[in-house]
Amino acid sequence: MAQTHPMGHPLLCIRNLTKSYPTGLFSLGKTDVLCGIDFELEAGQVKTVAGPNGSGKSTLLRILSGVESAETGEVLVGGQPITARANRMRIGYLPDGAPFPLELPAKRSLELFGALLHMPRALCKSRATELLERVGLASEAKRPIGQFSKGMLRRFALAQAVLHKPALLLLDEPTDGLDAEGFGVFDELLSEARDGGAGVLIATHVADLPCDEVSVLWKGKIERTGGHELLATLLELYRELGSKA
Amino acid sequence: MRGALQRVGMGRGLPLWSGITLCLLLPAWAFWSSTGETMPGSIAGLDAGNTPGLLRQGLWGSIGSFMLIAATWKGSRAGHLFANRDRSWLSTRLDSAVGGAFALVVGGVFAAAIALLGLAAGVEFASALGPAQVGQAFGKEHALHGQSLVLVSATPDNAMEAAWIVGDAKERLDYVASKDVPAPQLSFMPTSLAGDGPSALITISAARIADGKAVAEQTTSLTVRVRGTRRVLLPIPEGSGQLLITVRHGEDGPPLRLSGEHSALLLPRASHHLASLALWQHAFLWIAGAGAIALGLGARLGAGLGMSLALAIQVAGLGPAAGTYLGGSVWLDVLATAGQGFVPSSWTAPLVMGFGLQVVIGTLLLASALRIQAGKGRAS
Repeated sequence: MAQTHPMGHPLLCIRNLTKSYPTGLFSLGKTDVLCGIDFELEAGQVKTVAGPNGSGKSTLLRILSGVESAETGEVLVGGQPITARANRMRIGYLPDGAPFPLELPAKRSLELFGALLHMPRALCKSRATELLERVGLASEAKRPIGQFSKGMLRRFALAQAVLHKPALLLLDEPTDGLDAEGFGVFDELLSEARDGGAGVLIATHVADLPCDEVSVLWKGKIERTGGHELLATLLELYRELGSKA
Repeated sequence: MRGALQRVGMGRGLPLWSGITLCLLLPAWAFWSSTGETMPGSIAGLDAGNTPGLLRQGLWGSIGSFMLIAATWKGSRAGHLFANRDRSWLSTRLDSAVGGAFALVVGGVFAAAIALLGLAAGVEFASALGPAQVGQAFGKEHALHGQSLVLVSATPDNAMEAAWIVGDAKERLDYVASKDVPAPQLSFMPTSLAGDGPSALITISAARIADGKAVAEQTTSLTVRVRGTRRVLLPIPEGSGQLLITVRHGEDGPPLRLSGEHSALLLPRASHHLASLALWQHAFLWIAGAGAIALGLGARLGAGLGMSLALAIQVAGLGPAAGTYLGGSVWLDVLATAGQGFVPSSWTAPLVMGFGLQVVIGTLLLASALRIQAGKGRAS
């Protein structure tokens, strides 16, 4: 059930967000990646941003997580700018790939992430143990994450994203490389986050993820918004949008 | 938060450095232990039985060079990774880019300190296995600060002042005379002698200073010739407090030049093993400073270019143009001093400042890379 923020603000509010990357010789050219995105997410909602490769999904999530900066526009979390220090604790981010300290064991990595977010040490340790158990990596807790398989890395990435029980969960291709059991773990953590009042934004091109609303991103613009059933028609939609272009 | 990041910074460097130290130390031990017995005990200007001193010079010189290269490579590579692969987990969790970057740089500096301490321990263990170093251990402090000093004939009008052309030829040190502690010595090398005589008489005096005034003074006179390095016992007056050491021309005679480079105060030290501690201090400032700046350069310019530039800075630092701010500017002198069987002098304020500056520059470069990278990327 969606809930507005206690102060009346939506949990996540994006207004006219744009981003471009320099291209070409001496970076003189420019490629627009996000072109005026408007988007809102309430607490307890799960929304999906779908789109083909290169449509700007991951860039959008990197901006929302603070890894990259937007060119223009406004991003507010709970009414505060995304860059506000208080928002760091409120956001959990599952990035694409495995950008983690690969030399560290899984449990120590989670403890490090908790320490950076000023979580009490005892809570950090117990939460790390609990999450590794839940994602099926308890027996690998002391193994460096650089030695993990793709699926194990994805499970670890899920665990680090929900470590501090964030209010806003940003998941970039969360099921990429997960096996059937991994999908189960993902569903369980997603339900728990939603039931706990967190808003969840998923970037994906997978056609059957549980969500309340789907926005289709095409060449940096949200071209279509609809219910979960929209995911099943993505391929036809891409063809339609491609033929228009 | 800082401690957690420092451990990450340390962890990125320590295993490689320790591995390099061990890999190089073991064959070096074998080499030195096989040649140690046959090594000449006295080479021009060296004390007899100085094999451990030569061993220290050889091991620190060779392994130190490898560690400098390893530090710049590892630093620039770590910087590149922090600014690229690690940026997503760092930038979403750091309170401040500068604070985080500083913690990572400090971690790398700790790694260098620990690896070099391992090297110091290894070198001293190796030296303990070979022939013992004979004689009292002396620390070599350059008293005349690298200036060439000219003793000229004293005249009745200005006998005291005319003793030195260079005004700061006097040196102050703290030393309390005791039966258990050998007296300090003055080492110098007359490099040219003009006039019509082959020798000159000089007077060395040591005065106790209290409230800016000399309260007791002891003097010794000797005739010096241009024949290698001379070492003479300093005359030490009773009491405690600062000593003002002055060298004057004894009486009328020909001008005499003392090379500042070869003039030094030799202060008694508890053990010859302290030489490795002094070598560790200098190697640490040099290598850890190089690693810190390589970290920042690697973050901004990439691993290869960052390493090349960081190494170029350190190589330039070997020359006199760098002044005394970069560790490399004194490294060769420090090695030579250890090779002569002395305990090199400790780090100086300019060296520590230069090291601090490299840490600051490395930190700011890394922090700016963590921020600036946010503007780059690709659509996905």
